[in-house]
Amino acid sequence: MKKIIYVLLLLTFFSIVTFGDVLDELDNPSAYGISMGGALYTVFAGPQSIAYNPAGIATEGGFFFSHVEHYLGVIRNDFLAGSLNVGNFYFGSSMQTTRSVDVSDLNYSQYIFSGAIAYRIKNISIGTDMNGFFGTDVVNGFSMDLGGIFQTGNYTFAAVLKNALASITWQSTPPTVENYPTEMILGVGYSSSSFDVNTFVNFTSKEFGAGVQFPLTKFFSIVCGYKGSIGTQISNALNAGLVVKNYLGFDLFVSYTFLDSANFGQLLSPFTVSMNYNFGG
Amino acid sequence: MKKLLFLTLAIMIPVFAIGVSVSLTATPTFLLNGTVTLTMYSSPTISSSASAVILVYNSSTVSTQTLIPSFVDGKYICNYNVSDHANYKAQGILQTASANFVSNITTFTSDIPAASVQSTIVYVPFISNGLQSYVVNVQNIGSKTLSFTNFSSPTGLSINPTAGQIPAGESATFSVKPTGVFLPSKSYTLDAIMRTNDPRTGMSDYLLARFLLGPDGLVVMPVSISGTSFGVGSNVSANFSIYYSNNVSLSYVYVVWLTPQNSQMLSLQPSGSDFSSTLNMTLPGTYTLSKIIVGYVYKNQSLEMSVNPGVSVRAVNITPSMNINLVNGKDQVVVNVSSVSTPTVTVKDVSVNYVVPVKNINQTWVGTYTYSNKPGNVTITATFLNTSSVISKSFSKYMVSGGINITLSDGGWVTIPPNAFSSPSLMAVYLESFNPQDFYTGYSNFNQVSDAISIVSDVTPVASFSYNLYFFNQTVNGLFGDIKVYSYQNGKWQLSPVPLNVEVGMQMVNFQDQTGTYALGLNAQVQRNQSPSIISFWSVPSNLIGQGNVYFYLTVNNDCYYKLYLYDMRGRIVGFQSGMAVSSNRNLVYTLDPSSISNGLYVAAIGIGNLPNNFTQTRSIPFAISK
Repeated sequence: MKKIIYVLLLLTFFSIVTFGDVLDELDNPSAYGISMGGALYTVFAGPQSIAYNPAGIATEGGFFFSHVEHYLGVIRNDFLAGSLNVGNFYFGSSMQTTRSVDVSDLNYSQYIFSGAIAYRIKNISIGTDMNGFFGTDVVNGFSMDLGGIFQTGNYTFAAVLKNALASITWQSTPPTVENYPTEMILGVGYSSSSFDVNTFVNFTSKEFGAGVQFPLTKFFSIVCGYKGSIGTQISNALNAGLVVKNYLGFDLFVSYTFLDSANFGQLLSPFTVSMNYNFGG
Repeated sequence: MKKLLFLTLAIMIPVFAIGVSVSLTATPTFLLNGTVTLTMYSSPTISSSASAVILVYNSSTVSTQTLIPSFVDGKYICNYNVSDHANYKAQGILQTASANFVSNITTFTSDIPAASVQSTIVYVPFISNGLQSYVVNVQNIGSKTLSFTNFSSPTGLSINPTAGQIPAGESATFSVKPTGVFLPSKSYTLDAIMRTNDPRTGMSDYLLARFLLGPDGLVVMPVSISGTSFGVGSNVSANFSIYYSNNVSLSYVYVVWLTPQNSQMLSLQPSGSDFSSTLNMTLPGTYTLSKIIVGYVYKNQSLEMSVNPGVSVRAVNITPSMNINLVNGKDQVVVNVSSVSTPTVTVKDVSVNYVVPVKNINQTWVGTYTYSNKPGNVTITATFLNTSSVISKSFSKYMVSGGINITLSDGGWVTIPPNAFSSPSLMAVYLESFNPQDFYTGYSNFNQVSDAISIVSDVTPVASFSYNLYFFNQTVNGLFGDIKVYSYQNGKWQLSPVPLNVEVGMQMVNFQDQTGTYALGLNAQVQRNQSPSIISFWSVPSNLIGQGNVYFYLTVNNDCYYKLYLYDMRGRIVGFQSGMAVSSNRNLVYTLDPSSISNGLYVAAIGIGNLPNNFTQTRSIPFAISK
């Protein structure tokens, strides 16, 4: 435990002494995450948790796929992830591509390959993943995420160090290395028979979000979420969604983003659909 | 109480009849628990053979107590013990064989606010930056609310809170901290005083804390920066002083700067009191004087003190520029050079070279040159230390009486009529080409579309010239009604009142005037009944590799309003611009300096419409940055 604390302190210090803005990545690639205002850090969401909190893969294994078209379709993002468990250990991997659509104007792609491992005992789960970056302008890059989820009673707490040791070598003349601060994220969730609420605060990027999920039947839930930012204006704050949970082994997530014509919020795709297949059926 | 009243009334008449007065006093009149001395005497004195009683009324218990005083030195004295919070009234009675004499009613009270202070004396033998604060506890041991105001005597202490109230029986804590300027080698005594409404004699002011500071110490002060905004390549200086007592010696002094790229620790010579640290700002961004670290020896101990000034300055890219202004009637030209580095301004006047002395005023160098009366070209060139930048501008001189046409670079001309001057005059003509000419910045106030021309003479002309200014078909198509003449006055382009004649067929603007500096501009004219459409929207470059800016261009089919947002992949807005765009123009709508954002993929989204906040068409494009 002491070693973990030392590592956290070291990474916290590292986040202070590095410079520059946070890593420019599409960090909310799932329809479930979008509809929850990004607040998936406290949720055992299976393979898709690799993009949020690696400790969250410590649940039933499966395959996850999400396709998002942002900004009137000029940016596309595909996120494919899988996970399985061996005893108390859980393993996951994912691939994420972000690319421009109109290749005549800008032929550009970025790839993130991730491998994750988590360990769970009852209500406590810890996990980590490592990410490799490649792409049109990216020679190579690395980052790692560390996270934990702790449940007590109806409450769930999460702590994530995101993009720790993040460094990308960019194609320039000569190639330049850009370092990014470790992002400190804390999340709190509350679960009851009639609703679940999950929240997060990213102290480094100054983003925050909250989502509420209302189960309607055994299989169906409705979700709504809000994502905001302090000091930096952010597009598309309010989202709503539908969750079909474990129906014939499949999870289906649909997110709808309410348009904000004042700042072209409609440029983000209002509809997003993601799908998960559970090994457990 | 009633008993006391009836007794008083019953005895009043005999007292006044005989003419003996009896006086009763209580000491003290305000107290908490303790003894009140009641003293009664008569005038004239009545012998001790008289019997005396003193009645004391307690408002708390609503009871009256009878006391028998002792006769001492002609006075009747007794002590009354107060043990609760109440108001008291007392009255004495002297009884002789012939009459009863009653005293005045005197009052005393224990129902008061009263402070109990745990005063502290703080010894700070070594003065330094950031002296710590101390906490003092005060309790209201009385039965009424205690009001207080705090102050420092002399000034130099900060006491928090400065004023307020403490309810009866409750406590409050006060924070006291030295915040004044204290110099080592001196001793200071400062008191934090609390002034209260405690009515007890001599009990209104309380000492919260006494600070005994010095005489040893080491203090860093003050920190000043040579400016708040600089051009890249400039030096920024931080000046500060270190004061220390004779028994302190400096070992080292370091200054830590946070730059846009890293942190730099600079060492300064640890001698004297005044220090200066200079840093060359080689990159754009924010530079912060983060720390001053002082190592020193005190009583054979090697110690270190760190001060965090947190003072920031910004360095921005400044491209050198030069403007020249002809002075009418004086054969002079004023040269203004904006540059971070020192320029060397040379003039080639026909065939002779001169060096123009320049004065530096806030990164602008100003010089004046008086040109010769020989016709020909004058070329003014500015070169800069340590850079390859060269700026060169020229104007022409003519010795004329009139009857010539001066042709402009864009095809326009100025006609000097034959009778313009009564005698031969030296005219100077300066023509400035605006580059690039086929677009303008959509977010500037004045939208320049033509060359600017300056004409001056050393003799006042007697006739007006005819200005025939030309502009491109592309830029004026359908917008003749919006073209306006601007004149350059007091360093600004201002709308000119000179009458103009727009000749549609020739794309010319014609007006008459004597001398001056003129240019043509146009403004967007948005029609409510038109629905504008985006013809194209693009960035240059679409994938920035290395240093530089990203420029965003827009062409539209009708004049319109636009609003532009730049998003990162998290949906955060990293840039914004709104303004008006002109049809048939390549409108530069935004220039992005990517120095403050991360590398990666971004999206620029633009919306246009015929109202400022109602956008009927949007378009988005991706762009990438790899610095």
